Amino acid sequence: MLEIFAPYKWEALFQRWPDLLTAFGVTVGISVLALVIALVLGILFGVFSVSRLSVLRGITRVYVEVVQNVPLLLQVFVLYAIFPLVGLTLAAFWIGVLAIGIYHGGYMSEVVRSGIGSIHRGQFEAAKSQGFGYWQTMFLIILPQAFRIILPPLAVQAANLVKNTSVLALIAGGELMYFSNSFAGATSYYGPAYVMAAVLYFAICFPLSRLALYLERRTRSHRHLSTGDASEELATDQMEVTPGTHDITGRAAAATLAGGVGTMYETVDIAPARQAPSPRHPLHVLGEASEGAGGGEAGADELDPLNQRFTGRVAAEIADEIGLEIAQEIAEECGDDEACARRIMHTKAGRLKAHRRLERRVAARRGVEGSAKGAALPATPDAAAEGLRDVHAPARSPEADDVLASRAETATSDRITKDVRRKADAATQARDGAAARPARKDLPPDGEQARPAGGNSPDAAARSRAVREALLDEEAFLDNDYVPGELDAPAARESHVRAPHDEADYDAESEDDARRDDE
Amino acid sequence: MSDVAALFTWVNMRFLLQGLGLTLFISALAIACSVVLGTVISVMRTSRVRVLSGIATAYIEVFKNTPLLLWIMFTFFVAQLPPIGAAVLAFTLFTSASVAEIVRGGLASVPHGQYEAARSQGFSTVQTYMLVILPQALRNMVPALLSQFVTTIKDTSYLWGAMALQELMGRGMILMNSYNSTAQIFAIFGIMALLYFVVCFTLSQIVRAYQRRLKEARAG
Repeated sequence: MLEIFAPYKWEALFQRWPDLLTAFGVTVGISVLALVIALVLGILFGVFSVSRLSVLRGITRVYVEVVQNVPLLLQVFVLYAIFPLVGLTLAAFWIGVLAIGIYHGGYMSEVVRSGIGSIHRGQFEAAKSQGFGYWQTMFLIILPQAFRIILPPLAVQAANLVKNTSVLALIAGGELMYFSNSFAGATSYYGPAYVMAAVLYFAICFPLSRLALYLERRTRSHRHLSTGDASEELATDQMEVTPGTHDITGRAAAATLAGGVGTMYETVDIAPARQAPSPRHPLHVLGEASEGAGGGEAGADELDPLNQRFTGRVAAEIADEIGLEIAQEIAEECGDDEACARRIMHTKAGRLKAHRRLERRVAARRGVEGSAKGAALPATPDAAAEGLRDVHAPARSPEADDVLASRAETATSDRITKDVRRKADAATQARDGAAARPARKDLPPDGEQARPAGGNSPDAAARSRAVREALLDEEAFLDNDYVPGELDAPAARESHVRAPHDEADYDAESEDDARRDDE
Repeated sequence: MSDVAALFTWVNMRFLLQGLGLTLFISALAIACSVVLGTVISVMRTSRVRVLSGIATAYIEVFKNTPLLLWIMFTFFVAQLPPIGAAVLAFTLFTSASVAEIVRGGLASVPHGQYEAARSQGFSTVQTYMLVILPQALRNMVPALLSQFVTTIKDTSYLWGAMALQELMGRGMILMNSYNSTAQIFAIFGIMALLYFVVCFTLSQIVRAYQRRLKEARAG
């Protein structure tokens, strides 16, 4: 074995260093040029694949399927052996650039397609309503947003592309693998030649795949993608401690996000990649208004703070906010003790606990803020449009606290229950006393205040429903179990938002709810 | 056109199909070995022993970031194995890095409650994995493993160039030596591409159908 790597063989290899360097340069050159071609083709066909014209979609389908289901080497041979027959002779270098560029263009277009698919429909509609044409919308609005999501899978593709340049060795492409082969063949010093090639390929591909990982984590912290399990990632990245995102993102998460099939081939993640459409968390969005019960007052619903749904950037910000707060909670709990922090973050119980502490603190803060801010509330519609959530925060506080109290009652210990209860009561009293009246007058007079926010005149059915839905929301949020397509069918959520393993818990809880309703 | 028709003899077709058989044989064997090795590496990677997880991580990184062709050359020339052995070993080494990640994802897709439930019923760690976790994980892993199979089938085409193993690509090239009109060479390329395409496309359609079913099962 040692004989294979004898020092004199290494010496012989290093004496050829100019050739080695040239070969490495050729590999890099082919990679860069092929990457450019692949990107151009990928974006072009990615846009085609979501086009309304079925011809364009068909062309894309054929291109992608052919390129992905026929070996790269065969495609290279087509350029190498067939093109000269029809009078087109290309240098091995350009054969490499073209063949590899076209091959990876197919993969890239799938990545781009899933990236476009992950952009919210509202973006298309908004652009259209502002008078943008189709192509303008695509290139000015959609693609720039999709770009951030598709960057990680693109980096993975780039690494694969570099690896695939090695096939050119079989057509005397003059690149790194070819050099190693010919050096090894000429001298029979196989060991050093291949180890050197491995090191050099690794030197290009490893940074690329690290970059992919880094980009993906960054993207994830903004978009709450998830698959897989919780592990070291959580400990290293404090932003990740959002209670819904205790799952790992695979590198394909962005691509699988929209159910894109681009992940099928070159990537490896299979745990369901799901996007939480919006963290409708009880802390921020207090129960969806009962859509069935209060069907009449659509106008009031729009301004009803109980009825807000957050999507897109706002949702991400809210979720990040929660994540930060939880991270702070953990930091306060543990101080500098890293092991302690890791323990909390790595166990579901620990995260839940931190989360509950946060709940209590927010409930307390709401109580204080409600009484302090209520009188000086801005009442203009513009202000409401600016930040509905904040403007109406005092108006919905009592319900918030009630929700939290109920939640605590069903799920946490007596100690927590008492704590939240006390705060909820205090907040309700504070509101009934002074602050709430002026705030509530600013709401539009129509709709007859079907769901008054005050704690003293609750519409019992609507309220218990709101409470139940908030519970459900939180349950789903904590388990991060939003299913794809859920955003499109919000009404059907109740039937399938829970993870299978929580079925038992949920049944027990809903029975509790039913019992409470009966009382 | 008669020279193209001359290609389609039973002997030629059998020659090519035997090559396809070898391609599938090597790919299937390599995938089977990779699943075993990949599972071991994946378990090592989650191990609490630093050395083990370090080795597993290094293994995955090395094989994910170097080309397959290199490892084919390595096992054939440096380790001096017989062609089929070298091919299977190279593919196993290379593919098991990807399969390790697939297995990791598969294990992670099993809800944690399943571990706890199994343990609470008195299963040992090994039993928990063999009887409870892995069967469930495998169901989620099937699409990704099949995709990996497609990739492996495509990659076996390197074997002719690297070590003159007569799989589909190699047999096509051999066939090309005895036919030299342009139309015939076109046709041989076409047949090879078609054979690869039929096999790979069928597999990827299966993957898609299976994924859709999994998704529906999850949603419903």
